[in-house]
Amino acid sequence: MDDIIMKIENLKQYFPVNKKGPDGKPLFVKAVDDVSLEIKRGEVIGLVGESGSGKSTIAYSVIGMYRPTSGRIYFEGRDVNEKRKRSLQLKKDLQIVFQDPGSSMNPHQTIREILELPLNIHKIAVGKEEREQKLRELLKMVELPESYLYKVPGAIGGGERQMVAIARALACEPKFLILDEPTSALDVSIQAKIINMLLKIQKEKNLTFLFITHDLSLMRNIATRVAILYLGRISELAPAEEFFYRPEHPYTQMLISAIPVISEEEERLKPKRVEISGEIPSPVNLPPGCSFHLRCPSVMNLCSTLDPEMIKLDENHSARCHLCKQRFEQSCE
Amino acid sequence: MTDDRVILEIKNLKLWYTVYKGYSKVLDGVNLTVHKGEKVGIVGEAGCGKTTTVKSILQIIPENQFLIPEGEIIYKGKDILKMSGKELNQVRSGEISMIYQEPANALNPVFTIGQQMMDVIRYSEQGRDKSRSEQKAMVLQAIRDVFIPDPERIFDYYPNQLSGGMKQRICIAMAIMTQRDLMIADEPGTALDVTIQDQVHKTLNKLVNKRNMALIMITHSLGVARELTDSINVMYAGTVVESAKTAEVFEHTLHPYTIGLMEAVPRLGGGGIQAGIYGSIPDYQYPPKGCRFAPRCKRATEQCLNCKPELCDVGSGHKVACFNL
Repeated sequence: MDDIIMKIENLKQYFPVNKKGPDGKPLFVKAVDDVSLEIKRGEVIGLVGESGSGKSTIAYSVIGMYRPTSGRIYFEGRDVNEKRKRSLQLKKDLQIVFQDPGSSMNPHQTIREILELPLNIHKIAVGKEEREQKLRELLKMVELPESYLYKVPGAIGGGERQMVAIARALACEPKFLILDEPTSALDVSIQAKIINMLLKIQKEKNLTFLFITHDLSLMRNIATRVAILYLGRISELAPAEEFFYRPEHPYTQMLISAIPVISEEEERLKPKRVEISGEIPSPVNLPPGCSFHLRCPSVMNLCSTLDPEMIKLDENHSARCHLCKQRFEQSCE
Repeated sequence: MTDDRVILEIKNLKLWYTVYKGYSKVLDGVNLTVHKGEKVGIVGEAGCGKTTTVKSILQIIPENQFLIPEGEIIYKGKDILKMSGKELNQVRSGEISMIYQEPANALNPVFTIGQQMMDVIRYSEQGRDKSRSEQKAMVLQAIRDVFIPDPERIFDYYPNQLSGGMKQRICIAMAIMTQRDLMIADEPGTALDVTIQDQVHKTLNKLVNKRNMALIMITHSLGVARELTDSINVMYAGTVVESAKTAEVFEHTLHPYTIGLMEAVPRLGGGGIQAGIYGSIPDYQYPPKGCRFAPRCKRATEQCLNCKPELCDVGSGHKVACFNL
């Protein structure tokens, strides 16, 4: 029996737009449309998708910035939205690191003040000496020198700022950490350093990560399982390495074939070049049938009318596609 | 100039930005050669002077903000730095075109796509004497060339009615509309999603090949450079540290900075990510005396800290600036 730390059940997150449809009903942006996901303890789960696919919205719903339109989120077996306000303990257990370290920290506060805030709120390391030691420990964990306590975010580089943001999230000893594109604003050389540090901390403390990114090749190297999102829905869910030798969904194949790589070996790992056409449609007027059928290279008649359901191809691998379903059924016969 | 295949040559270019109490010495001797019809990549981290280099080619940095103490930018045998305003405008309007990183900021939000594109034609050599309907036909053809369906409709759109990928394609259309010899693309795909980036790059590549233009492609992604360019110049802190044919750079990586960059790229094959490069780019107001990469380099010796390595040919056109190969 696996220890499931977080369970997302049929999560829907709609936002109203100030417009009415042809039938007079108000229109909604369906940012997240029926997403279900189970996350095991100690796992690094990746959410990958283009902009507008709802990856960040899922993170914000989990952390509690939005109340879901419908659906439930369970953390350690308890519904996080059962009461109007979340308990302090729950807030302590769930933490988030945002994409842009420049705007997620108060520019007037010193690093010390930034790191002390969660400690004050959650009453961790209250004594003077304990507090000093805790701060030193936090900085040591993210490999920054102690002198940084007295600097302000504006005085340090982007990579170091992100390190501070990570230290702040780790200050209250969470069990579950959401990383919302933590390295997409940074250079590859700094990205490598931050990722390696995060993985080290994850192993040491047995944390669970929900890692959001648009970079599939990064996911390949750090995630245990990856969910590919398209227009607010999961289109394929599988262990990270399986995506590269057995991508099932045409969208996944398209994504992988678009990655620019730096060696011949990697070139061979990519599926045959898929011609990419079109752009992600507006999430207000979703196309009927499968939401991907307008861009799909192997579209069938069925796709424009019937919305495919998520099917399990094997224990860990599932996809939402008519073609995958047909192929799967044929192989079973 | 003896070799008339060379279209642009930057020789030992130094550029300092004026800042409070001194200069920020950003470019420190850039050497770059572009041949006719060649696709040249400039790769490096943020803040390495990639954009400054290409901006200095077009001289589009505000005049009172910089100083060029040394160097030459020779375009078709003439030094751009010594050109008069009129000659310079001739280069900008008829010879070199540029695509910017952020398509949303490159287009004027209060004019329609059509109005903005007509302006380019109206001031160009080929379109100046044509009638309005002929000019419009040229614009529509250009929009069609970048694979946007229904150009008549797009012609009357405002930029905010288009998606990011479409806007970037309009920018490409504007850049290729009139016959140019050199195109500068400053990270054209960075602000876009992978699939859209791929489309934009393909469009750009097809058009550049078709028209036999030379291309300077700036990117921070080695993968993009590998797919799109013939030769690569790796820049670090205002100098070109390695320069060679694209395949050569990936097969025989020599400079420690390039090696570090390559290692830091996450691979499709898995196996984790290497350590990356320790530290960050230097403070340009007080740059290191010797090699600018020395403070971050594992191979650094006494010599590296005191003198600056020259870009030397190590065989078959592969140039590296490093003492410890």
